[in-house]
Amino acid sequence: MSVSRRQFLKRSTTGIATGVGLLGLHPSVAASPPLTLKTAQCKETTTICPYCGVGCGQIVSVKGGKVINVEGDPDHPINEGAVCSKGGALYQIANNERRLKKVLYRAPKSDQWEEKDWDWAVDRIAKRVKETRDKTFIGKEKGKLVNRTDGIACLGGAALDNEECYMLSKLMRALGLTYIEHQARI
Amino acid sequence: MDQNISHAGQSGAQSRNDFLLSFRQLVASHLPSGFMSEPNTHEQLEYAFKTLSEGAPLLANFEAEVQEHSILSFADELSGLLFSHLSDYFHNLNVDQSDLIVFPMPVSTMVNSVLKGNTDASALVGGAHTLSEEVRSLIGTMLMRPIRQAVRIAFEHDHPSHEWRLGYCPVCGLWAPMGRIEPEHGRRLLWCIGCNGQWRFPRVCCPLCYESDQKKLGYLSVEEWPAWRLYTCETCHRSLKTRDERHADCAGATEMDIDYVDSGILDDVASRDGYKPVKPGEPAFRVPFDETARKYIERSRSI
Repeated sequence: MSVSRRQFLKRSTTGIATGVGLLGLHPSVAASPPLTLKTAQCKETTTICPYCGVGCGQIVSVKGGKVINVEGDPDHPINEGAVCSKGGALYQIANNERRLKKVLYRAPKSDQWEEKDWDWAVDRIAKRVKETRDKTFIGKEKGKLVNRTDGIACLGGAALDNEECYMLSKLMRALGLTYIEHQARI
Repeated sequence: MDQNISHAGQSGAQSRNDFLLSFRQLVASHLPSGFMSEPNTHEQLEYAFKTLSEGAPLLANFEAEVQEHSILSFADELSGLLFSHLSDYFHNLNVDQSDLIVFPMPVSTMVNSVLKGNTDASALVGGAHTLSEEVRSLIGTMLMRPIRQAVRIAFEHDHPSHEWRLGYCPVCGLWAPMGRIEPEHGRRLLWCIGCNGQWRFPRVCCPLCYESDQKKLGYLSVEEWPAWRLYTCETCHRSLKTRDERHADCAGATEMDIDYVDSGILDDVASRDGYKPVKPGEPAFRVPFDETARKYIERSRSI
């Protein structure tokens, strides 16, 4: 830093004439008494956008246990507050009238969706996985033990977090899958 | 008796804008005459900038050789301006214009002590004992604005992109009493009532104790003031009112210092809900730093 005393003072006194925004007092506000004003506690929490591998920071605002806003984190070094169109719509993961909240099943050759419960759906998935795995399982190939199935593939969803992805890949490898992929790499 | 100036009621026919204009003219007419003369050696100035990087505000190491006649003259005219706009308010509190700003000790000593953060700005309004601490601090801070703003302008000229990430002003060392959220990127800027400067500060972090545990941080939304947030911290139990300029109700937001006074009721709300707002002109830490200040600086560097 190389500034002389005189230079500094000169800037101080000449700059002030063009300085804006001096302290003002507003003598005429007739506001309500504070006791009548209603407040609600809100929280801001930082998180990472789940939609791709860039890892943009976001701030989620919560009021009364409900997500009220999701926005880019301006202090995050990767995105500095900016978000893409998907990240900008992240709010809809938590709040969306069109989001499915129950299992819907459409039988083969049917044009109707049927509402099912989760127990039915999980049993059905397990049964179909086992059937396919049993049908396509390869124990040995060219004399070598491979224990794999090429009949099933797994695609990890963008909204899965690290821990969920870890568990998913463990389960899939235990079943013998080799086609394991994730949306973030596509 | 309600002493909040923002609740004081209409006094005279002049509007807020008239008042702002008058105050601007007053400061502009006084400043060229100079409040400081030959205050520092080059080495002292170098030292002030060096310690800035260690968290010490510029004015804490800045020896202002105040021109007493300028300060006294400005104080007289400021008193006149305040009385012309708030005569009923001061009359009700039995405050005479001649008693509003009375320096209880030599001007230069007093001003330097306030500028260095060793004395509260309310001490500059020593004669008006019936005024509340907050109002005295506010008037005392107004009185110091020309000097602080002059130093701020010089500072910004020499450090246009200075990376300051603390909750108090790099020039004045005062806690920011208000913040704003920028409309474009949602960044939080803190505002200094002393010099009218602004600087960036992380959104999810307490400026007053540097708490970054998100479970302890939050904000109060006030139903009747939708464009404002009262950021709160459960560690230090303090609050910071913040203008969210992304909100539609914030379109055409006025200058920070006007909104600061206009929104005085939000500080009352924060107090009602158990959080202590920043007092106008409240110094953060004294220099040399004590243990509390050192811990604050350490926390800021660990994040």
